[in-house]
Amino acid sequence: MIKCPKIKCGYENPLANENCVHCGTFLGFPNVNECLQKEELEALEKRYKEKVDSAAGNGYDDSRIEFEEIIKKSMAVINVNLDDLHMFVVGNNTLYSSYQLQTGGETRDFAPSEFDRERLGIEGTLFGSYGRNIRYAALSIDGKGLKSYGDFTIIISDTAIEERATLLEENSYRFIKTHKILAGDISKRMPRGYRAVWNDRSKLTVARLLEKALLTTVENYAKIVLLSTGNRKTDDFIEVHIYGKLSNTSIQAVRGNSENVREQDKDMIERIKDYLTADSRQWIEE
Amino acid sequence: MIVKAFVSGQVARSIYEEDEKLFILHVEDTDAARDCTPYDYNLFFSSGAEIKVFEKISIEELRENLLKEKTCFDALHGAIGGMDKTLSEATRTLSIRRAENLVKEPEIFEFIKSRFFGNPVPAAADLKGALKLSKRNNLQDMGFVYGMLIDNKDVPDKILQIFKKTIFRLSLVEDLAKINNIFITAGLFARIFICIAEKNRKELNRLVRNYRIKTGMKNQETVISQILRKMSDELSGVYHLDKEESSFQGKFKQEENTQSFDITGLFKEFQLERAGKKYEKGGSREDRNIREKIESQIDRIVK
Repeated sequence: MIKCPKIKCGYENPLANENCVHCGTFLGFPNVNECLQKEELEALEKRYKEKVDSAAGNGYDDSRIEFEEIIKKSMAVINVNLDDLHMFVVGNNTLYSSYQLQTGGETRDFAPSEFDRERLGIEGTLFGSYGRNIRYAALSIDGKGLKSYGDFTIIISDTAIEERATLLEENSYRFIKTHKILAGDISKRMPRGYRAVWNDRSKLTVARLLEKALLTTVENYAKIVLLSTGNRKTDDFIEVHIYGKLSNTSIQAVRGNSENVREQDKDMIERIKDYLTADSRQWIEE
Repeated sequence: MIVKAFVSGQVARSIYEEDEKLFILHVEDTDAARDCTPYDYNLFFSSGAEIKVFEKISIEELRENLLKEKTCFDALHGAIGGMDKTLSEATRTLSIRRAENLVKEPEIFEFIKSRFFGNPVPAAADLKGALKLSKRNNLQDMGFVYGMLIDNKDVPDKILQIFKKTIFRLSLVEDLAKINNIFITAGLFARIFICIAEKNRKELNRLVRNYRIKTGMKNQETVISQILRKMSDELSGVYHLDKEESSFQGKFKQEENTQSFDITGLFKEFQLERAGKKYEKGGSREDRNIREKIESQIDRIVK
């Protein structure tokens, strides 16, 4: 539960609430509030400390610090295909959206949860009722993303998400399987210490990956943090959960290969590049 | 059979429900669709893209519709890109060229006209620049679209104002978005725009008389006809439309699928209905009044 911060109110709200049901005061982003629960923070700290102490005991403190410093500069990336990228960068601008039909209630009201039990199982277990507000990304230290999700990588600006992003130490599907988590009450069934707020991402990454990092060199850190195999089932990454919508202003840079785009789609890629340039955002040619 | 499918040409994908599970299909997927994950679902529905809903269709029909929607939006984005001052001249030209290639397909050209003539021109649109680039590169169809809008820039806005006023007067405000979408997708705003641009009262009258489309909304045909008639009366006054035949006929596709503009056939159908062969008397008092008015109007025209 989370207590409403308004002194006159103080109503106890479920963690999944974004606003106080009693007075409407903003309670914070539900995913962030969950990760900031005392038990959650303590469990993460414990896992982190164990790894730090172990590294120090074995004379790897410098390497650990180096790894951790690199992770502190890591970013959230989302891979998409060309059409999604165009929609994200160009299509949502007023000039383009003026020609769209108005969204109908039928689309807005669609509740797949009643149809897709597996989806509900995983998303519902991890996020409860606010799962629909979560956007998924992956943690990356070199700005490269998961090709199995699309050829273009959107690098999200830190300032756009630092207050509303949390991390799960691996892909949700795999996490649920690994920890044999059952659908239901998240607070009772979710193991502690495997999630973190954005600013604690280095702790979570150290807790999960320090041993692997110490066995290799700095050049390979990127692949330890995000392994893109081209197959969603074998990709290995730290999942980033962003609460709420992302807009084209959330973009820091886009990475992709514009030469490989088919001839008929060249106009699309050029519009994307022009828009990024116009807003002083970077296109990184692969 | 797919129970329900959400299709977006803008992001080239569909999410559909079959056997109580969700699947995702990309326009280029030749294999079976894959399971829809929370990532796919949230990306699709939060993209801001236009989404169309289809019910009870086969996977083949879904693929066909998805490809059609994707092609329409490729053309639309190209056409809009031509007017986009944010883009370089080279990109604008490339965009118009892409649209021009796609509008060679009449159905795609109808789609572009329905969106361009059916929506007010956004303030940021550089129509003159787009026309200049079209002319310079001999891109005639797109040049025609931009040129029509330059010559009649305020018309789409006026049509929309009168449409909204009519909706309000008919107490249909709750259905405004839905009716607006029908008017755009059926190309009704675009047809009205053309009639005004060409000062063609006769064509406007014909549109009002002959409109028919099936989209499942209760009493929709009656409602749409009613709106069209009221709009037509007001627009004719505002724009002082004469009754001369338009020179535009060749440019405007009149016969297609569910929208028939064959007056003879339509009158025959009405007459059959009135003879009771297909048409049962009944409905609300308002329906009967409207029907009687339409019948008397037909009688006057036939005579």
